[in-house]
Amino acid sequence: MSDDSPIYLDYAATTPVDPRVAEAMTQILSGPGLFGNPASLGHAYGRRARELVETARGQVAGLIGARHMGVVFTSGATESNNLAILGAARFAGDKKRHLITSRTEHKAVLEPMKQLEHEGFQVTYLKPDVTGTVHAEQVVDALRDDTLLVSLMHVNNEIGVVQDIGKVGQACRARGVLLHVDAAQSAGKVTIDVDAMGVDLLSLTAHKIYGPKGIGALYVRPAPPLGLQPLQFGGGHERGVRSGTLPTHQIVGLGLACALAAAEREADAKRLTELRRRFWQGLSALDGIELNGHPTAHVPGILNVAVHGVEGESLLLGLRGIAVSSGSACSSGSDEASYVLRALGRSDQLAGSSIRFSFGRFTTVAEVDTAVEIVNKALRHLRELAP
Amino acid sequence: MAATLEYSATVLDLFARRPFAGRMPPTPGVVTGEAGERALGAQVQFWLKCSGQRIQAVSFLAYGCPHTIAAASWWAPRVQGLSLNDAKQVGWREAEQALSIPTEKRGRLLVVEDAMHAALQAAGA
Repeated sequence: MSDDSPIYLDYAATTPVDPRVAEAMTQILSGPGLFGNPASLGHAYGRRARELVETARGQVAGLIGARHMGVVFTSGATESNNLAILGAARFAGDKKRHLITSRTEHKAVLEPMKQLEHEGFQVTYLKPDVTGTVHAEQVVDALRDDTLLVSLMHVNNEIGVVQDIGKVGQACRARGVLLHVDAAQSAGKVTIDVDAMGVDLLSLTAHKIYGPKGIGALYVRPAPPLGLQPLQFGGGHERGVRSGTLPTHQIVGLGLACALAAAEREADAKRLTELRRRFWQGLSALDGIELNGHPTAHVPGILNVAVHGVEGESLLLGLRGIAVSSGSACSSGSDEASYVLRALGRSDQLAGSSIRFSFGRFTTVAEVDTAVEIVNKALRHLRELAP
Repeated sequence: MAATLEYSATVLDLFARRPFAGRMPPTPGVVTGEAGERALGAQVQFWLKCSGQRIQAVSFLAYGCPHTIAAASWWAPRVQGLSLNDAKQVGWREAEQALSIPTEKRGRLLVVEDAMHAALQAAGA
């Protein structure tokens, strides 16, 4: 990127690929004899590729405290969420027809839930409190005799709030209900131990942790075995759950990204916590800025703020020196406000003038300080202009 | 959590420079008119300084999307120097074309037009 490129503060949307990951992937793509099909175990090319895939599987498993055989490679968190939710429900068939999730899940969870409703399942959508927290007690209250699965995100992608998955997991285990966790925003950022947390299914993706786009994984509890109906059929790869030739270079990228995240998580978290604190200190010195989300139970890298007294689209244009995400999708002119912020009780107007700043491995102190100046200038500009 | 920000060069320029922005002091010959509501996403206020039936100076303040701000900023110099009746003939279609404003933002343009018409009415048009 050129020197006049916007400051990238949208790591929750996607992260740049870590150069170490890119190098490892390039080696697979261009290295001699590494192009084999991991399913072709009859010759050395295939066996070498399989070895690389299995090493990566172990790296993914290591990040979430899982057993190696519980990891199924997918194209990303959207596919993982679909496979977990649709796969579990369709496998159960008529036995259990009720699922629980929250109103602030990612669309990759809400849309499969809607699909299941079309197929005759019933879904309870829990309302989070004003901080975005879904309490385990709410889950317990919503459980029914025919509840099959609870799906909750570990960290909300818009506001960064961390849910107490362990507590929900305990409640689910006690009632024999499956727990699926969308960990797209938490894997590599907070500690995950699927066994200790009582998680049966967990989705993650590479591109939120400095890996490539187009690759992710679904953890499927290996024991006792958990049945999933596949979404696609073919050669029976990934123990029949997800057919399709395994992309070795992508999988190696995901594996290394997971290994790096595991090794550097604490250092990254410490640095991001300080950057976020510095940024929030700068912003909160300005008038009319309010935190969206939980004051303490949040990931280090996400800060979502509601900005009073300015219109959202103009604010976003005023902030064009920073690459961020806004609380509205105003491209259509409909000013559709974020359903997550609306669920937290924000008005359409305030949700529309909310901005998510997210920091990452390559964010610098200088960038954070410049970003505060840009926000300050944009706010002055717009507030002076308002009648 | 995403927005596509596509604006014409004119909109970007007017949004950044916002010429004619500001409140006009309430002196003899100065009238004002406003339209819209913040809660609905757009609020615009124009001030006109008139000499008889002619507009001598114009200023505005605006809350709204970049198209709203750019349209108000475009409208002010467009009517400055015109008679009140001629100023009334300047409408949203001309602004839409001049600024390449997308159809879905027509409602915002109407707010700007309403604010100008309110000011012109206050001036006796």
